[in-house]
Amino acid sequence: MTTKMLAAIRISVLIAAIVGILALSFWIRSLELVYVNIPLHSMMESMVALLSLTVAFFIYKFDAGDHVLTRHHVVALSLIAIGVLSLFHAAAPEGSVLVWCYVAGRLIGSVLLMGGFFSERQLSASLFRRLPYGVVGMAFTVALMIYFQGYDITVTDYSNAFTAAEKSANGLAALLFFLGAILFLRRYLREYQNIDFYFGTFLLLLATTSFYFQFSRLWAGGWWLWHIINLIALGVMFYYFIGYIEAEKKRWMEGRIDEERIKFMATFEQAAVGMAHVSPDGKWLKVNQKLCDIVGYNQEELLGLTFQNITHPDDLMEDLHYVEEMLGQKRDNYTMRKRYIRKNGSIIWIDLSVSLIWKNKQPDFFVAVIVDVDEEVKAKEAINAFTVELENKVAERTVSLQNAYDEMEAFTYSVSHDLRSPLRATDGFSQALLEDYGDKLDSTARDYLARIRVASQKMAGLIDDLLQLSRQTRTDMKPKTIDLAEMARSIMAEFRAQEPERSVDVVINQGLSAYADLHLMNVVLTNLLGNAWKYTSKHPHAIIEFGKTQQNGERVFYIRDNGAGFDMAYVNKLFKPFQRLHTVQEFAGNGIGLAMVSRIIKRHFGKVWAHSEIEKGTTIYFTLGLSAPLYIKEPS
Amino acid sequence: MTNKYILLVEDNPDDVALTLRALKKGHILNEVIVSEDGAKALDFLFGKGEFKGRDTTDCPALILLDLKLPKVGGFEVLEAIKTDPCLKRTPVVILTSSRQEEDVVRGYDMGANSYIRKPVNFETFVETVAQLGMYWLMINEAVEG
Repeated sequence: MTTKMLAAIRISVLIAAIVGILALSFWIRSLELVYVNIPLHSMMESMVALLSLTVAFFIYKFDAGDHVLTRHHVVALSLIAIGVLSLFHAAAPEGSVLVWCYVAGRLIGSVLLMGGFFSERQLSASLFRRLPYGVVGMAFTVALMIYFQGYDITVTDYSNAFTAAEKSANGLAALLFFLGAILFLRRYLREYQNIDFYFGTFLLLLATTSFYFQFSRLWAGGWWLWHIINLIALGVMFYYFIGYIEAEKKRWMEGRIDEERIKFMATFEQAAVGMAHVSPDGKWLKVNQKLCDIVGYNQEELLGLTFQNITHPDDLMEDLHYVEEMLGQKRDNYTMRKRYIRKNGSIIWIDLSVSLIWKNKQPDFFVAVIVDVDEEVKAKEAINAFTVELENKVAERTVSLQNAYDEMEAFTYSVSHDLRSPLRATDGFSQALLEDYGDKLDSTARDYLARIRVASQKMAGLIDDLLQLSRQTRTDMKPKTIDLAEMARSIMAEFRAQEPERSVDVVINQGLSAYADLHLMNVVLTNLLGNAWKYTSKHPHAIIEFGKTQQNGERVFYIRDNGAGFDMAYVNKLFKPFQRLHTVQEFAGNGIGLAMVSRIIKRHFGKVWAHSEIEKGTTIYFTLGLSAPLYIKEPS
Repeated sequence: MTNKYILLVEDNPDDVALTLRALKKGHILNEVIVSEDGAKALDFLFGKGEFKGRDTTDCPALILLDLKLPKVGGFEVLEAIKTDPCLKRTPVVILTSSRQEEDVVRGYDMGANSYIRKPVNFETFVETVAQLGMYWLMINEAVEG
């Protein structure tokens, strides 16, 4: 059915209905009935008010987004006026007030409804906001005025016609309703807009009842009929606006969906990762710009290819395997790192994540997300290459270190074994000479032989020291937490036992624990405390102190004595092997102790240094840099 | 005690002379047979080479064994002795100038009975050899007896 035909039918039905209504009305009028029923009247008018205000409310609620005074709003305003005045009309006592409330509502409503035809143009937002209050206020004021001025009028003659003033006001309203109806219906026949038909119908029905009012009397002539027509008119409006609001809501939802679609499209197109839809057989169905950038093809070229075409042959098997699993519903998605071959033939590393969309239990298309990880992979490759190179270097160095170590081992062995043999012969045969031929030698010869023996034994001692020194750097370290104070106490007790006659004050602080090798630290403390013991031997009252202090946030141990001390000018020789700052005549020793201490402290990643003043004493400081997680096992 | 011989395996003639002297000074009067290297010692003990036909049941009362030997090393000789069912009861005292710990441990692991580090000081050497020699000779007597 065309809109034209529909319009023709609608208008015909409408005209027929109006004619019918008028005919019915005048027929009832001719019966000269009088029917006073205030409760029925009040109920009808309340319904009119309720319908009017409800429709007005809905129009405002659902059409308020634009801040524009459309014809809907004008209709709403007129419905407010009619509604408010109908309420008063319903509540008014019999008489002139009752009539005037009705007539005033019709008049204001008709004027505003006429405006509805012209008011498509936009008014200011503030007017739109404030106008309803104005209309309510105006309707209220008019109603109150009528209400109080006509309160004392009582009606006795129910066959009374309406006054001339009432009739002329109503007549004006009828005229305006009719004019409005004609305008809307004419436009409807021109433009076929539903809104014009509904508004026209509404106005025509109101015009009909107003027209009939002119020929009616109070409580006579089927007043209930025109009230029903009024309700029908409002029902038409109500029906129209329900449809309108539904349509608006749908339109709004569609707008939302459109918006979402646009956003999704933008997400797909402008994502910073490559995105694509791929058919189950591998054809690119939809690709975004980023993916084109990654593979170096443009959209048209890519859509003519499959993912198999551009996947590196070495990665294809794995990829196809996953695809098969997905199609077989063995997995929901997969992620893999693989290579594409770009249009220019170069290879690019990407991370691929794929999921499969099903439709009617058939695989529809794959959703693929492709991230360019080329730089990352290449950086990793570079790091790996570097690591391999480093490992090779370390292995090389380890081999040469091992060689050096083995050589040293062999050297040590030979020193220990071979150098001692001649010394033993020298000493042994000197002894044999002394024993067997001593009587044939004079005292000088015997003295020489004795010197030979002393010298060879001293050399043996030096060899032993040398071996010991080398052993300190070679033995495996087994570091653990040890109590240095306890260790120092037992060492000092040994010294005291050897020379009980000496007067020595020993001060050992508490809490000197350290993470170090027990055996090696014993060597360190034995040497340092032994030096302190030795170099204080010429002082009548010795003080030896072992404690700890803080320097630059580091824990520093120290061993202090008030002994012979040394000249700080030679301090750099102190920790070198076989370097001595005192003669053997002054103090016995071979210059190996502090060298050993230095090596052991170094193996513990620590430092050792000294401060001394001649005849005032020496302080040896050391740190132990080793802590449990820092310990590095030496190559064995 | 005097009827059994001592086998000294030592390549250094100086040390041989000094050891013999030390034994004499320690009043150990057993016959001493000297092997200059490990190979010769094994030949002697097992009746091979130039000692072919020697009565191998005539075991030494004590073997003094240097570790650093030409051709066959001291440890190999020790191993051969200690794996032989007859010889394994013969006490072996390792005589060496090496004080390297691994040597000591390895020697004991392989069944050496004692370890003497030849000191440079001859008097100490005499004392040690005399004591150890006497001790092991006596032990041997006890076992045999």
